Amino acid sequence: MSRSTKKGPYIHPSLLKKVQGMTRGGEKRMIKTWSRASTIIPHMVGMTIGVHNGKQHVPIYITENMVGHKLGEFAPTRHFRGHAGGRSERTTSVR
Amino acid sequence: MKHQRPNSPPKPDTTTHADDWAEVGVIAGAFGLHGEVKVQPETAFPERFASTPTIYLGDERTPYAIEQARAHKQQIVLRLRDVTSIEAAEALRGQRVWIPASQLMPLPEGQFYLHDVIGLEVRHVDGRVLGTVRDILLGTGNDLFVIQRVPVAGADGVMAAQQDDVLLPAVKAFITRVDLEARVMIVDPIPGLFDEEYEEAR
Repeated sequence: MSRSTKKGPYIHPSLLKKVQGMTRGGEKRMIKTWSRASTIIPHMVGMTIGVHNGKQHVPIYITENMVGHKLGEFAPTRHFRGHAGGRSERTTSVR
Repeated sequence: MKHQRPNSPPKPDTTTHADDWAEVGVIAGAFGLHGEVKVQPETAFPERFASTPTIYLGDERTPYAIEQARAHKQQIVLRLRDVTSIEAAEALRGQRVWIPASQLMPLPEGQFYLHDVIGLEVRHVDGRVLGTVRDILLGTGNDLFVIQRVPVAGADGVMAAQQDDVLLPAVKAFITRVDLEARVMIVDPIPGLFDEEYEEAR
């Protein structure tokens, strides 16, 4: 069953406070959080949030298409290290 | 993606240096009873199997001509010349699939091969050397550059112990320029990424 819309999206109160403070102040600074269950809200777009994956805080640059998802979805707790030790045809892009 | 190519002979193996090859997949096993093999692609361009005449398998880089290639779920099914039985196909399981590095696909601006980015020197826009790209984590949100920091000398001149790696999102907001010729990446990070100037929220 989905969460009641009356309550609005869940976001940890201390994280919400930091996000609102940073929106008002206009400064850019990474916010580290352990709250993987918090929902990404439109105010977070353009911010960098370090989401704990059980070992370290993974910095996530929040974009519009992440709104509505949970922070934990973007900080995987397991990493596939891949097969290739040398050259491969896998790529990365700077978006 | 279905592609028939019956009579293209395997090219002779003329290159031997590790940098002359690029991995594009690994044989996951046999497919069906007639010698087809499943390939788990390790490439950003899985459609390349339809246009590649020859692949090279294993450490020996044994050439095999591709007679047919098609997509099947998340894998590629290949029919290779001279592999006509399930036993012959099963014997190839686990073999890595290589192509000559000269056949790598050209990339659009802003996209880079992982092996080209790993090892780049990371410099702040103010000129400070911050470290070296040690690895790249391909994530669900944005890719992350794993940056090995350079040890910094303290006020007493003693070099500090090796610091933890830094994760830097691969986004234009932080990556100002990537110069593969000069082997350098210029970054403009916000406070909290490379220092302790972050905010903390439980």
